[in-house]
Amino acid sequence: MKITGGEAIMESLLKEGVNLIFGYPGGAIMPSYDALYKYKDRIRHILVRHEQGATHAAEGFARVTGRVGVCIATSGPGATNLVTGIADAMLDCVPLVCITGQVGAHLLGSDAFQEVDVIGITAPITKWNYQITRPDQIPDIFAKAFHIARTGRPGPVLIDITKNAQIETLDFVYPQSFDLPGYAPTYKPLQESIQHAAQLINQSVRPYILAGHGILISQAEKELLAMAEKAGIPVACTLHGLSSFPTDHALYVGFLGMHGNYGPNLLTNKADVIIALGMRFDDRVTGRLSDYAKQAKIIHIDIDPAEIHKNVHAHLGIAADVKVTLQMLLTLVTKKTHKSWVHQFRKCDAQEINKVIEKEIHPKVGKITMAETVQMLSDLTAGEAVVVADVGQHQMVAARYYKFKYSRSWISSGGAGTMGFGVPAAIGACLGAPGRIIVAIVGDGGFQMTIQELGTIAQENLPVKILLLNNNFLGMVRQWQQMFYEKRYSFVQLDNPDFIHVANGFRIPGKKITKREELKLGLKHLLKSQGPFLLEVVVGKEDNVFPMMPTGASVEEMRLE
Amino acid sequence: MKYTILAFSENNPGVLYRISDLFLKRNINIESLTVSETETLGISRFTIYVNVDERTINTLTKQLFRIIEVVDIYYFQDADILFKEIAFIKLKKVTSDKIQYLKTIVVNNNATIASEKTQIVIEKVGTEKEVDALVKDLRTFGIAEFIRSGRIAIKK
Repeated sequence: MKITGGEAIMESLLKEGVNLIFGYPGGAIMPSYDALYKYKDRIRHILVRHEQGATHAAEGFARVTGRVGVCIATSGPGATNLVTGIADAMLDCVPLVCITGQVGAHLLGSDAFQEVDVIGITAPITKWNYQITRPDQIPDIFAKAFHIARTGRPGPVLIDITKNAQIETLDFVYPQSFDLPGYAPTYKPLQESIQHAAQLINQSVRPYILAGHGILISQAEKELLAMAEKAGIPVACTLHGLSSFPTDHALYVGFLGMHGNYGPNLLTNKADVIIALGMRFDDRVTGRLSDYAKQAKIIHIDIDPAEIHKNVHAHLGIAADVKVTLQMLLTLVTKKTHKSWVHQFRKCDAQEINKVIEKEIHPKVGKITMAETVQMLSDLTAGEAVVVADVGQHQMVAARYYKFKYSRSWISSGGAGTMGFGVPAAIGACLGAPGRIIVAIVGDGGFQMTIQELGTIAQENLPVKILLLNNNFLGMVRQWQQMFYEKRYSFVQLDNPDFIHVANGFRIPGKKITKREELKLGLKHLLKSQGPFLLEVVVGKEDNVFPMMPTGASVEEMRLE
Repeated sequence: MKYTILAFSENNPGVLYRISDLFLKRNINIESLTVSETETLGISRFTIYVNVDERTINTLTKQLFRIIEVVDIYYFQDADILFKEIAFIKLKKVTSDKIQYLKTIVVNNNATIASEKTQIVIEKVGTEKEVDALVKDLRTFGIAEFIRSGRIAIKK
């Protein structure tokens, strides 16, 4: 039976198990929206307020579920508005399929209304993209797109579909298999690599696991836990590795990176064997490369061969799936403990608690701190919430002080550091994990970059809890200006709107907290509210996030104050 | 260090763009790039000649291999490959008294005169060095137009 290209898109989505998409209609995608109208009982469409919101929402959904997030937009500005989110997903390995409408095939290259070369624009920021100009291409390209997005190192795929291909008809048959001769991610490592890795680990005195996003992507949380416990290895998490290992575990030593915990960064240069799992030695983790872990033998396990030796030379590089690799490795590592080595981390913790944490979470005077707010949120939710953070000081504080109990509980923009990510990503997370509490922690800067998505939240009545940590500054930039630009606060001060009024305007209730004694009640109110809620907490204007490893400094030069 | 990259890819629109973009992203200038069909239907062969360090070539080729359509990738130094390019050099007006001298240069450089119709066009097949040497010798006649194909290469 013949169906239209638009209908074939919907059928393809259903074949891929998609029943939720985020999008915004417009001219060149209208035939597909017309098809969607017929499928709206099977495919839920969330109408965002800006296409960037659609990509971030799809990211939030993908990150919380492990499934592919889907967004749809029209040609021209609709497509270019997706770009920031696509780039964000590319850097953070988030599986997305983005569908864009395009002018009719006969108009391609003619500068027709709303024609933009979206294939050209998104080539550098997609794992794969393809322009469909005939309806019969739809099933095969969709099957390939979903396969590519979700397998190997996941990432965004964009499908651009000319208007005629959405209108014309085809005989719809969804392919069982397809031909991708250049794409075959390796999941299973070589046995000899595993033996070599086991030997290095078994001989080590100060082994150290750096757990990255790959643990969550390949669902290797149990294997990581088993590995750490069996071989007695301390575990630190990268920003995206957070929540892959229980924060209350005796072997958990903290968060790596520029504003991470003191011990995990400092002691990188004391470990004798580093086991890097599904992470890419980002510059925010390594600091100055010439002084990074020179003493250690590095075992780097990552599904992407291009990451091995890219930033840090690995003594043993294993380009394979981290779950499969850990399963094989587990049988070969010997049972051990490394008490004095783990104790070194605890000594660093004590210093960090003394110099930083205590005064951050239990301040006696002054304005409310971001840290005490996050700490209280963590306590009140028993570490069970999904925290979706925007980008900036509040993000680092949230990463530092929220005590994650469950996996897939931390969603933020890492590689791209996209301000405005938080609120729309929380929409996707909320729809992906309806049983969980979703808290979007945002700053006053980033909040205003995608604040229009409050409209989406209100329209769908999504119980997103927004915690706004307001310092009336672009705080992270201000902190840098204070520390490295002699306090020349160049364009970082924000004359903000009345956020509660703004939320109320979107029919979202809100409450503003300015005093410490009101904080707990405010947070309780936020968490107990039925639908969406905005809690604005006014925090110290010039508070800084510490510890800090300044750009270009070594992990050993982590500053506690 | 100069390297020749051989990349084999599905012949889809957009692959050339993705390949060249990876060089752009790293601010690497491509010395030459040729694309041609291969013995396998639907597979194209990219020969890319670049000047980068060893660490870069290693990561770069792995990143090129990440392109979904790229089915195979190798890189070589000159000792491991046969490589050639073709060049045409069109000369400005050559006076009759210099024709004999020109012919000597052409023979000495192992080149040929491909056309004498309106202007003399010299054809040369050889390595970049050989082409450069010929061009240097021909300067004295005045070069009207010069084109070189960029290298093609095959593993020994």
